[in-house]
Amino acid sequence: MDVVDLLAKVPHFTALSRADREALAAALVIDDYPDGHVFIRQGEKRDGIFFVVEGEVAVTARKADGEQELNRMRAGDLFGLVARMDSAPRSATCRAAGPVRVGELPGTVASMLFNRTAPIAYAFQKALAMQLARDFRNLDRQLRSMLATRR
Amino acid sequence: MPPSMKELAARFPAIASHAAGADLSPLLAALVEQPVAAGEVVLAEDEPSDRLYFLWEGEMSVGARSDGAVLDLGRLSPGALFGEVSFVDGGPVSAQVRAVGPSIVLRLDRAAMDALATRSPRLATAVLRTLSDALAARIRSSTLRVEEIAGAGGPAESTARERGLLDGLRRLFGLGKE
Repeated sequence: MDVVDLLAKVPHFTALSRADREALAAALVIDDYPDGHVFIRQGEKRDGIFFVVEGEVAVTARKADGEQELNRMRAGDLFGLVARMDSAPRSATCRAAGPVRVGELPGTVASMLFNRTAPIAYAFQKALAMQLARDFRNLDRQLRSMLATRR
Repeated sequence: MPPSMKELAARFPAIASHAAGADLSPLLAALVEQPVAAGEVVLAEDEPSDRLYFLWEGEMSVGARSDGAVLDLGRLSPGALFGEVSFVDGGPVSAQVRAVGPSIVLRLDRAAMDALATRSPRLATAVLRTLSDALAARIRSSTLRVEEIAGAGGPAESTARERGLLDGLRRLFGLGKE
């Protein structure tokens, strides 16, 4: 599928004009990656934002009891948003689960694009806020269930 | 009397800072001033909500249900934002927010936010960025606390563990130590 058409189907980007979606698609560096390719490694810093065009990317984290899969990204999903917003190291590893086609929005390109096109900046900020809301709810659920087992 | 732009910027400096000098008047126009009586519940846990609240005057107490009990998480002061998670994801409210005394909140409905995003996307981005920064800091602080608890342990430590978990929950809601 054409990337502009794929962007039109992604909820975060449906409100963008066609011109803005074309600008975003043009800024993405799209490439094919083999199974196991690591886009982001836990503990290391990278400031790019990634967009899954085809295939799947597994998000895993090292916990006390070993490596755990936290999430799986599919066509239309974004990753790399959360750690880009601050100076904290990446909290999870994002690795290709099978061959994938992924678009990268390099950090400096993203900043330029966001400064130039406010609706694109808003769309990404909204996507980031949604991911943080999901992380909040997961942690809230985990804490309350841990507290409940103490009572 | 509704606040002026200068007052809004002074009470919510992070939004003004992220707006980077942009005119705040479209945000001011989108906010609805709402007086709240002492004891009134502004947000009820598990109920739907699509509103972001800016605490202008007064104090709010925050409580969360856990296994039949209501945990007192702490109090919000003027300058606090609340209702942000439901506002962002459209899910149910995660904690109860009740006015301690007579208070004033400024309310931003999601429809007004959508209109703001069309009219002033930079300003709407500044609001979301403020929420995101705060959420990320709280998640990080709370996660660190949970990891500390996981790292400690032992049955003799159960009281300390429960206190730690409650502290983690308070941090998540922006009410504990950052």
